[in-house]
Amino acid sequence: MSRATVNFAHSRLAAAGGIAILLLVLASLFAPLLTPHDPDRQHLDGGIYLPPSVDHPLGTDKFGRDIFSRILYGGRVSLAIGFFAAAMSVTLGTLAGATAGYFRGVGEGVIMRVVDVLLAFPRLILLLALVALFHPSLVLLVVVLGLTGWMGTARIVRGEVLSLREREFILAGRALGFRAPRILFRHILPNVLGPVIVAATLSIGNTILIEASLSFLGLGVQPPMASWGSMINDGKEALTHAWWIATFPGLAVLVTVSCFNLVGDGMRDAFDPRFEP
Amino acid sequence: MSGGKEIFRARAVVKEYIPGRGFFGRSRRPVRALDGVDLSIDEGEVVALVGESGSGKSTFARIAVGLEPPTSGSIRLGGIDIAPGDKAALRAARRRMQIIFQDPSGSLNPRITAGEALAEVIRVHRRAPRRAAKEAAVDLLERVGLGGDDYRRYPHEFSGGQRQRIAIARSLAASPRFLVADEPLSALDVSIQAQILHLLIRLKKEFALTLLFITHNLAVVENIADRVAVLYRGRIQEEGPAGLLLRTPLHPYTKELVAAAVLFRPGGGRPVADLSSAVLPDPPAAEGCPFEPRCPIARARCVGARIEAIDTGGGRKVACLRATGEDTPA
Repeated sequence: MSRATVNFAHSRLAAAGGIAILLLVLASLFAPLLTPHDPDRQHLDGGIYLPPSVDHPLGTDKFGRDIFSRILYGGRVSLAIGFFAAAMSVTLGTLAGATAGYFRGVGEGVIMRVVDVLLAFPRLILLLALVALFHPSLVLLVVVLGLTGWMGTARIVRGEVLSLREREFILAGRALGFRAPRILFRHILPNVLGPVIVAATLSIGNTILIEASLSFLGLGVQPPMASWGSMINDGKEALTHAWWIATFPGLAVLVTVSCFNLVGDGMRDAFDPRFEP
Repeated sequence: MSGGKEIFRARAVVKEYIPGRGFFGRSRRPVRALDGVDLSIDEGEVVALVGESGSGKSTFARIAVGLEPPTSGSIRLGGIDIAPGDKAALRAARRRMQIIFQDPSGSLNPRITAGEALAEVIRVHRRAPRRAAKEAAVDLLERVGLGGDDYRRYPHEFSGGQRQRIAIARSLAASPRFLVADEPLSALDVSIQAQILHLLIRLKKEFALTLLFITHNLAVVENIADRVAVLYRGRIQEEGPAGLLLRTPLHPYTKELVAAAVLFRPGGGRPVADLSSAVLPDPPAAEGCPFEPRCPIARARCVGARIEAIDTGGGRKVACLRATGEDTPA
């Protein structure tokens, strides 16, 4: 692990991305201490559509709610959904892909056809249908995003495992009498870690985007709770005269997703033992 | 040299690969990589299996240690058949036989340090606790000429020769009786080859190993082998004590091989046949001598019936009508 840490620190962009994410996470966690206003408190008399100022650093929305406060509180929702849904989909994808790639046979056929079918469905349509069927809630969002996002990882992992299982060190492991779980978990999966970590970080960014899209369509987080997507939705009709309402949560999404991508690339290098900084 | 007690026996081993189905599902002719290989190895012996690339050497190595099942035929190790799908028997047998691969950079897990790779095998096979396994691993590293400091180093931090030492140590960690070395030198620098060869010779004695040494390098065979088997197109063409076979080859293919090796020595002779005709597009005919198309002394009757190996005395066998005198003109 220490080697990975050292290599990781050498990749400055990744480190910058990591620090930015850490700051975002901390800011969201300690939102009550950092925010000047209650995120849901409305100021309908003269407090609406205020441009950025000292009192409201990022302005206010149509109900007079403080944008800065809402971005921090909304970050809790967006980051949590992104993290847990990505963790779920990457775990599912890794298990499915590794099972398909290592054991081959009928199971592989079934798993990969399920992947094909799910990939052939536009994810957003599938999500809309699922969310419309049940009552939107945070847990439902995480589960539904997790269940619809694992196929890419499964494909990546299966491909990696397929090539790894023919490598001589896996043959050597079989010749040494190792059982399948040992070969799979100790010898194959650690060698898939790089692509999986990259898939996971990219998936967090992507999930945040999808959650934003769902909330933008009004099917994600329900008002008055803030998420970045619902804030962009709130701001869209005021874009011409109050640009700050949609722009700042949009920037939050942009920065967060970019940072996760930078970290993903950095981690790929850090987890490769052949990588020399 | 040989204690006379048979430890390994391959009987009529055939391996066929079916090339992928054609686009419209037409099945193609299977490719026969091994065509009835018989090979018996006594305890303590070093047998070299030689042949050119594509002769089936590596396929035989994998089948010999149970990594692939033969299409037909059987492999016995210490009298126990390892071919059937009895996983427990196979795993038990695997503890007594190990394989060293050609390319040590591919046969070591890049994420596991040299020491951990050995310690893992020791823990699994001897059910040793972590600490004892570590000590045994350090001891093994030292016995193959590496240091205890190398325990924590990753495969990519070693040279090719050092990696092959680690691969050898790892196979020994399972305390095998029978070791298959599949071209263990050919991926290494020429300057390193001799070191690894001498290491193998030394370890063979120290660990009382029986060795199946697969190679295409006859100079290596002279140094290490008690007996030699010559494989051509999936069939053993000639078999016998190493010194005799190399000095007085009987089979025309062995003669070619020996002559080609001699070429590289000062004052060496010339090849008796042109090796450039080596590349043959067609798979060997099921009947007849597989070497016939290349053979300088072939006769019409070499094409017909299958040619079985004939014992010519002195522990030698050869599968050639011309060499065994069966072809004396009628």
